[in-house]
Amino acid sequence: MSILSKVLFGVGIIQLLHAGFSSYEFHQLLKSSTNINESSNEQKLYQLPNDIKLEVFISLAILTVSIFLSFNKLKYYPINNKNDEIITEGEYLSNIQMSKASNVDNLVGSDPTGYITYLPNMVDIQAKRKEVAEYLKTI
Amino acid sequence: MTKGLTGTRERFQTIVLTKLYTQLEPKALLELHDDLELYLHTKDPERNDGLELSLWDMMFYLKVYLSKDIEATVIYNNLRDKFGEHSPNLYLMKVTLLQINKNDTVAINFINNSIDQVLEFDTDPYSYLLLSKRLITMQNNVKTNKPDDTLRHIMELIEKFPIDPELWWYAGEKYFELGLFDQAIYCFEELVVLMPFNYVAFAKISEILYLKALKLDKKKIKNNKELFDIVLQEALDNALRSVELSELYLKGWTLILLITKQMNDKKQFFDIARENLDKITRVSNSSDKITAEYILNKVN
Repeated sequence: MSILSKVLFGVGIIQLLHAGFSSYEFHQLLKSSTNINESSNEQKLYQLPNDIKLEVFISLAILTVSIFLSFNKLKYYPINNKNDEIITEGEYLSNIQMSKASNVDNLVGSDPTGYITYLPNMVDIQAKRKEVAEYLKTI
Repeated sequence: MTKGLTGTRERFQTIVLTKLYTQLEPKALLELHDDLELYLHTKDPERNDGLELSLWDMMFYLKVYLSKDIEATVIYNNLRDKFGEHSPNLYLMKVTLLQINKNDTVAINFINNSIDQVLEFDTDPYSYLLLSKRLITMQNNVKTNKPDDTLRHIMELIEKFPIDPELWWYAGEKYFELGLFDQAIYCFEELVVLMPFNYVAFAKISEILYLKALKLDKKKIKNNKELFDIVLQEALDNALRSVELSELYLKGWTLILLITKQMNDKKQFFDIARENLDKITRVSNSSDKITAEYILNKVN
């Protein structure tokens, strides 16, 4: 979360709490009032003031913006080479379209169906050990 | 460990899920083993029990590949004490230890006895499947000059487990090795039926069809041109399907580039493939970038 989004989030929350407190105060005032006239003109006076409503809407807008600003660009870690640089496509949210969502696997160098295509249960253990042992002799 | 615990955990999670460690080069295996050992001895609050067990399973095989047999046995003993012997993965580990501490024949006998005495009547089809696959692999090594036997064993197992994609892939690879392209394509198409979004399998079908077309061309049989075009078109369709499912799939775009190079009327596809390979050289991981650059240089 960046500093800007944190500041906006704080302002939004304070504003929302202030609007809630103002609304509470207003209702307390109404309850204490004894001469309630039933005429329609006076009834309008007992509705929640517009400035409190406006304060709520503005605080919600600020909170929404602050949450969007809190997103960081998605980063991916290549798996084959641990010293490889971290990859980013400059996007803040994951894609939901399959052709683009599967790009993450391509970017990190992973085959998502490797548990089938690598034939992990049919590995020739002896050959693998021999290959590694020959390599270890050379280092 | 430069990317923090989250990056390290995600890397191991991907490797363990995709089973990449079974395909790594010796140097990469050694690095992975050292990294994993360090990570497993680091306290990561986000590492759950499932991941922890999968990582120990991977560690067991890394130790086996690196001939650290005693340490592998210790891991097996720890897991066996926790879960007992009758678990699919522990059966496989036991067979692996028999293979490395004794020999393949002892391991084959163990699997045969387990199947005949327990698994054939047990309600645990997964252990049966895993051990049978290992049995086929070991029998393949013993009878290296008889690929027919291996294929017969695979087909027998496929009859028992027709929806296991790994068996279809293995059968496809075996037919491909023998140059039996139509049979190989059939196996990979069966796999695509089981996994309709497996873009790797679509690319594999395309690759085999492309090679089949090239083989046809070389023979120069009369009226072969029409068949050559049909097979190439099929190869192109499958390659296009693979990139339709995965936009930056290197193998898919490479195949499109190579196939359309052989076709006179697909200039537009050729250009699109080149553009996408160029994009891969800019945005992908270092390995794919180098490969894409190499392919583009070769084609231009």
